[in-house]
Amino acid sequence: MRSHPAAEEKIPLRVLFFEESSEDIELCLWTLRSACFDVTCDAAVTLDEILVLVRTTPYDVILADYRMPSATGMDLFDLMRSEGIDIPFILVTGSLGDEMAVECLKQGVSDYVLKDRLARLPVAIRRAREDARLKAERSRAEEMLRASEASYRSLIQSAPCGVLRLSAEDGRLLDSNMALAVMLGYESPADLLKGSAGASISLAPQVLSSLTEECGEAGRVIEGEVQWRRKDGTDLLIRLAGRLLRDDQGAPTCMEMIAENVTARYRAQNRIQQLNRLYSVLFHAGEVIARTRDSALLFREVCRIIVEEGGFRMAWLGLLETDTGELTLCASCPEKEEYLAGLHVTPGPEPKGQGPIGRSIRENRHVVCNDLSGDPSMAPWRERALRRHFRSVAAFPIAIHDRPIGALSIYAAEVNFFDDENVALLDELTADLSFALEGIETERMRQRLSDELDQFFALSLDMLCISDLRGYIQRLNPAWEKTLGFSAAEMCSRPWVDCVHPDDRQAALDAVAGFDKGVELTHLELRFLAKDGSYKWLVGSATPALDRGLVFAAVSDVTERKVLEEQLRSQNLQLEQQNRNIEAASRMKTEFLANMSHELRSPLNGIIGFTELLYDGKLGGLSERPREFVGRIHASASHLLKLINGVLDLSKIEAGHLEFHPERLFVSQVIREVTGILSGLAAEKQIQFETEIDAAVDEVVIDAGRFRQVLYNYLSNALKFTGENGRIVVRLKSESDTEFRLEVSDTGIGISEPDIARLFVEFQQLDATTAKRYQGTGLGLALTKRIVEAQGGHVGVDSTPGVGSTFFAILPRVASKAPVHYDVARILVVDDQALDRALIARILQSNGYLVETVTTSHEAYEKCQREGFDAITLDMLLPDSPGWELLAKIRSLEDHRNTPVIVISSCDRADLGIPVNVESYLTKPVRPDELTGTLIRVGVPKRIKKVTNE
Amino acid sequence: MSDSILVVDDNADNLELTQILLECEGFEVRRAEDAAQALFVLATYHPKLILMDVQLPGMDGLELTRRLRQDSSFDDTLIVALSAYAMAPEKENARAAGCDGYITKPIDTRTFGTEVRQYLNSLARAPLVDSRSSE
Repeated sequence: MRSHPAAEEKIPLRVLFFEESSEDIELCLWTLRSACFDVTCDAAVTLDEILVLVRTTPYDVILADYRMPSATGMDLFDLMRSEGIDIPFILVTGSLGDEMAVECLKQGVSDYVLKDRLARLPVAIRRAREDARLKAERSRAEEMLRASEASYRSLIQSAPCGVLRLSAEDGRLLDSNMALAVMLGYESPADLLKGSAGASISLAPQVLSSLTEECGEAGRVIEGEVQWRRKDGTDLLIRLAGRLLRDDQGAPTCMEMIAENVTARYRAQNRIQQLNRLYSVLFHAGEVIARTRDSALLFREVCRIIVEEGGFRMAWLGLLETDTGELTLCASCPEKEEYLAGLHVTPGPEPKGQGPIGRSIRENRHVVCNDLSGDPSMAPWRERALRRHFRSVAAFPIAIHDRPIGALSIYAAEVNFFDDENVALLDELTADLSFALEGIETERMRQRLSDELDQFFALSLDMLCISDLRGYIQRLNPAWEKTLGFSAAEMCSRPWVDCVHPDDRQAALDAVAGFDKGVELTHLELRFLAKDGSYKWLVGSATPALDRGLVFAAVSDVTERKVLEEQLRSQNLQLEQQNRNIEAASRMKTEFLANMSHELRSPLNGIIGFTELLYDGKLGGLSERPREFVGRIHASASHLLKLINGVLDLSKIEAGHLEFHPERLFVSQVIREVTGILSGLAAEKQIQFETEIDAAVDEVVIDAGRFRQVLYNYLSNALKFTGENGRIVVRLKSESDTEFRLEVSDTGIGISEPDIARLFVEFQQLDATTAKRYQGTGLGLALTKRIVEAQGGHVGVDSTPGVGSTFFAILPRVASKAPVHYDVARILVVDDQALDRALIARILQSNGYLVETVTTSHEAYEKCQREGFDAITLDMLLPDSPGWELLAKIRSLEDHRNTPVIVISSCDRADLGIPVNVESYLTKPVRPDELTGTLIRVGVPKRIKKVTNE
Repeated sequence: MSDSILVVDDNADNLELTQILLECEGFEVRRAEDAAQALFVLATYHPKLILMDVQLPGMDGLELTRRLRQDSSFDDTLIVALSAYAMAPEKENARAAGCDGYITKPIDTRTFGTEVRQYLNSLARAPLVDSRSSE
């Protein structure tokens, strides 16, 4: 305060008086001027005047008398206040009680000066002016602050990020800007504030306390994330950052914070985490899949990895039980999860098959249930699942070769976890798993196959081995040691060729050389050294595998067979030799007979010729007695000639040289001729010839001479053995459509049963006494039989001793020109099995058959084209073509159309399905009596009637 | 002039018998006991018929027949084999060697002449009948 203002510097002062006393005004002015104020003034006595004045002039001070006629000084003050006019107001009054004064000051009056103490007025004015100046300054400052605050507010209101204030006391929202309101879906901050309590847009107490504790020091930035729900119900993740405000005492008041919506960023991060987890699952599972060969372990590990690496609540894998069709738990993580106890899942159409797992198996594709709480298909399991905080589930089929065998189920704690991308990754996992299972399955099958083959390898009676291309055996089965005695180590220690008999070694070396060129060995027989020093006959086949440098070989011990074959071969040779010897002997017999008959006939030529000359008297007559003797010589010689001719005929028949000249003739005529010749002899014994002729068979085509011979033999025989007054009947009857029957019945001595068998055998008369009594060559009936049979007929006799005999001959009505003779039957044996072939051949040979053997269809057909056989035995399983094909081809040959064929096979007849008719069928091994019985049944006895085409 | 016949036979008795029988029939008969003699005779003698025994010492009758059949001067000579062999192959062999007929020994003295004459008269081959080999 300046008590003495500078004289030279007067203080301008504009004063408005509310005073009616001009003296008082003058006094005041004087006082003021003397106090160095340059005073100008106006004065008024009514409120209205004052109002007019203050509105036009900027007064520095109003000096008002308290008591005025129109109004009091306080009335004026109130008016000023109400008019908003803020001019320093000093009451200048005669007297004012202290209480009143205090009251006025309280009202805002700047000061009061008593009229009797005007000296204080300058001081009061100065102070009032100072106060006014300060007040104006303050008001200006306040104004500026107000403006600044407004602009700040506006800045906050229009900021693009959310700005807010939260109560530090209870975390409720105190204030917000537009951006936050919009972020949270409200129309305005006010709207937001109104709704915030209901929507829990606030800090939860624990968040609040952690935030406030965290920022002990003032000014430190605090931050945190909250999840607030938008007005539309969606959740937002909001990041808050700001500071805590405290009051003067340091107690927290509120928090000013900036809010940022990080929901999208959070989601993206979340996503990346999810993907990382899933990739981690794929990676680890891939490792396990590559490493594990045990499916149970694989399942367990994969479930563990899904849960541990993938952060899922649970994973389990079930496989379909083949018999029940239900899914059986194979592995789960966590293990022994209660949820899985008693869980029934089927891929069927029932409700328990409608869940994601059942459907995934049924439809062979993944099935997702992204919200367990809402999906009706999860009804059977929902309660249990939710209790375990399973919120979504996905099931993936496990398939082998695209055939589902089970499912992998994965449970997540999050709703909507299984989006397309996640599921695609898990699909990949299950595809890998399926692939691994296929691999394991394939490996298991291969292992099983290999085990089985190992079993066979060990069991095989045949010797099996794998050698390298140089002939060192790499692997061999136990059969080698059993057969040869060498241990496996001994066998592998040297090339196998070293053990081959020197005579067979070249063949072995050739085979080894062939392996090098990839040549397969189909059949090699060689002698192989055994440990006991002997040689075994082995037969083997082998295939080289050049890419691996190995040879696979299978070898059998055929020593026994070889020995047997050798025996059979020598037996066959013996038999052949015997055959040849018999044939030679037979030929010699025939030649001998021919020669002997020649040698005998030559002298008989002379004897008979000359005795005839003598007897006939061509060279002069003889006396009666010599002529009788010449006659006897001639008769004896003629008998001898008959014998010789008989023998000759027999040998001709044996040799097949008897000729027949069939001609048309009447049998009755021949009977007449022959009975005519013998009628003299019959008349001597007073025997009557009778004839009974069936005219239907009278005319036949037959060799007349041979027929005459037959009839002559029968008749002369009958005459010989029939006593005087006997009766002989010659009958001609029909035997069949193609044959006729000649019978000669007598009333002779008859023949006993045992003798009948010997009747037709050459040189057999029934007994010595008979021979003496009945002269004869003993060849007649034998010749008759041969002659008749040579024409395709047969002979026989019915006889009752003491009553008589009936001899008959059955002959063809039309005889073939070709003679029929009997020969050893020849059988063709077709069989590729050496042992079977040998057995059949031996049976046949030892039963008197001639045998030819062949091993293939081709050989058999060629042989049948060239030669005739009386029968064929046929194995249906031939190496080159089926037996029935051969049979059809043989049947197509003229000579073999009706040749009996006996199939001898190891198969059941039904299996063969023989399309061509065969005479008989036998099963191997064939029994001797069965085979010979069958041959006789089909009409092939060991000696067979033959028509030769000479 | 009677027909001329050469009989070739190594058995003297049979040769004699044949000659007697043929001469009784009025034939002119020459004899030879083996092939050499026969060839010797035939050098100067040209018979109408040769009765040829098959079995001869040295060259046999069939061989001799073959020789003669190669000589065209014997084209008009009949050769009939005369043999005690009575087997079919013998007859075939004889025919193959060039014989025109075949008569089996022992001969039937009562028909022999007629048989020979038949051959000569017909100059054709009589059927090869084995006249006495069967009853």
